[in-house]
Amino acid sequence: MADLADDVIGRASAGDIAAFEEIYRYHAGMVYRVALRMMARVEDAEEVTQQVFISVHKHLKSFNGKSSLKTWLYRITVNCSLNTLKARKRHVEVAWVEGFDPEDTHDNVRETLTRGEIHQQITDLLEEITPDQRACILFRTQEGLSYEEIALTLGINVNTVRSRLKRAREALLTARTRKGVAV
Amino acid sequence: MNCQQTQDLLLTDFLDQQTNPEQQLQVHQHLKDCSVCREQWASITAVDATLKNVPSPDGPSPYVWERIADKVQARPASWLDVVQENLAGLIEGFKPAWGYGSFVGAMLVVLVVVLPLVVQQQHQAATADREYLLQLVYADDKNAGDGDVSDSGFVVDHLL
Repeated sequence: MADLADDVIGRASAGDIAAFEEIYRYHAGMVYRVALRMMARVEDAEEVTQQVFISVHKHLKSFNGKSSLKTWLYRITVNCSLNTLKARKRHVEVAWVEGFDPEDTHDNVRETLTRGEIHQQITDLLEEITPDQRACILFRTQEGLSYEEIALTLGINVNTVRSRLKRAREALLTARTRKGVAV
Repeated sequence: MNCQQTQDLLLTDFLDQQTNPEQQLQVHQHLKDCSVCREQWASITAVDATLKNVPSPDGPSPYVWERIADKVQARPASWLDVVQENLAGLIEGFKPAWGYGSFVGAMLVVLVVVLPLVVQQQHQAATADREYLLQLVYADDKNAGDGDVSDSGFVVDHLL
């Protein structure tokens, strides 16, 4: 994919919808990929992707270019995902009080989120760690960010990144053993 | 280096290639001598390889962009956006070459020194106008021949 033109952010922030679409076409795959790993469900990932780009459009004028657009998008994507997960947790807790059976939802989620056995097992593994740990693991293993870049993106220090990665991997190893995951 | 120290590094810096040469050497030495840590290292790299090899999903469906485009084009500019935009433009337009600090300092000097002088001059001018009008009204009253000038001050204040 060709790089974005230098002036595309300026044109998009001035209201040029075609320029904004260029930004979307260039970065939507990355935003959606991170959102899907964070959220697990396709429909939730699409909802987060939509939220991210509406937020970007709203705040594009205040984007000062100190960090790269990609880092900015990573941060917004993780924040939107965490907020949605928190909201969903509250919703499930309320529903539980009203007699909702969370086991049914869990099965349904698994049905909709998996496309194959490997994907299923990885999704199950990622559900074993906290959303904060998941963000660190995803940025490191799938996006290839350094510890410093993860720290910058999530607004935490490098030692916190290291600590979250360690705890996440310990939890993944335990879950892998317990579930007998073959991958 | 003991097992705990080694495994801490295996789970973080060693796996992510962040260790310095000395740490690398120590970890390699420990792995050579410790079967438990070697087994742990094999599990760690297996999980890491699994996560790295997850196939990338296809992008979002085309409907996502359609919904975004609908929303951003339908979104009216909020009053806050309008104020921010105009204020920023106004400030930028008046930005002095020597910076905002000097500009604010100069404005303070104007307020403290120049403003009292202007107020004083205004007051003096108003007093002079009043005296001039009093003279005119007094002269008119005397020309009218009734000699009563008691309400002249009120008339002048009303005129001012």
